[in-house]
Amino acid sequence: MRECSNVRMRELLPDLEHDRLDAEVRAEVEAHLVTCGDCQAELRLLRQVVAVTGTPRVDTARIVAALPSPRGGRTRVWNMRSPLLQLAAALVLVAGATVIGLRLDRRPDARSASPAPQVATHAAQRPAAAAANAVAAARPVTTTELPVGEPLHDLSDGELRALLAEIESLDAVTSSETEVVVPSIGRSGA
Amino acid sequence: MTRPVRYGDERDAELIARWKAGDEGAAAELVERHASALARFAVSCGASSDVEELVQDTFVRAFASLDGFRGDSSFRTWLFTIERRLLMDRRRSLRRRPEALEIQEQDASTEWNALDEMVADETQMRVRQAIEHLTPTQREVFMLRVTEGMSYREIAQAVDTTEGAARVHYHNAMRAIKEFLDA
Repeated sequence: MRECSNVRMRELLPDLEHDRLDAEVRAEVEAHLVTCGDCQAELRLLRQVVAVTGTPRVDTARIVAALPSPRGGRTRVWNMRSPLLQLAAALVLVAGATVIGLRLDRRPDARSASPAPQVATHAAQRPAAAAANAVAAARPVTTTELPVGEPLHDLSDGELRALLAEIESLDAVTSSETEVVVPSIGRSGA
Repeated sequence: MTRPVRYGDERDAELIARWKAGDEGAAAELVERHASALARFAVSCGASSDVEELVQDTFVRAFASLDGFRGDSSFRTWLFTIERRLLMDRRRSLRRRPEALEIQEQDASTEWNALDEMVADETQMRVRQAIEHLTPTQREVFMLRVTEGMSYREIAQAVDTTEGAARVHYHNAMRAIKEFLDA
């Protein structure tokens, strides 16, 4: 079986078979076919290919029954362009911001500047109790602040002992800090 | 030269819109319009006993992701793309299971022989064999062009290649079939 040298005509043969050509092009191809035995043979071959390609039976009802429902598909995918959804999202955002704002406003430390000055104020009012409170308050905090430089001379002996006991119970170095080793000059003799 | 609108694309778009709006009857019409073409393509790609299952899976997958269908290609071309990917996935899984592949080949062979007996015309049988001798890509392109009348552009979209490559595959396939028949 030979091939026609007019590639354009050969390429249009399937379109001719499927009625895809404009009237003008169709007339051109049909005119070529009248005189071209190779294209006639190729067209016959195309028809044979279509003929031998049977269409298997397919149960379309079964296929349709297996399809997802349109509503199910739509609920899975949120259409954020919907004005209702946009309004709902805006309301949720406003409500969330309001709740967070109210909670922040109710926090005790929100009204004062910072915790450290608060401790200092207490220490100034009642030095002995404030010192003990400062030590106790300093426990869970990683940065321990003792009232260094505060007047201790007006503490009673009992208060001083209690304070010393509290101080001794503290770790000298917190686990998260690096221990600084100071060399003893006297022992080395250097 | 060739008409741009194919397979009632406008009708497909209308049916898709109706289905999205909740009309399940639109899905039935879409299936009716394209199931046969998908079945033919499945057979031409080498599917045998599982054609209906393959067509069903194609539609299920297509409708499940219909929101992602942008309409860059026709609905039918998009369906062919999905079916082809499913076929490739199945071939890969069969390659991983040699026993299953063996059974599949035996089934295909039996079916082929049964069909051969039904084909009275010697020429038609030879044409069939000639198609079987094409490479998978040649066969896909050739069958989409000849049996479905798709343009090279549509074929390129369906089989994930370029328009030029699709054209070359078609001409090589045609030449190979002629040589097989002349031998």
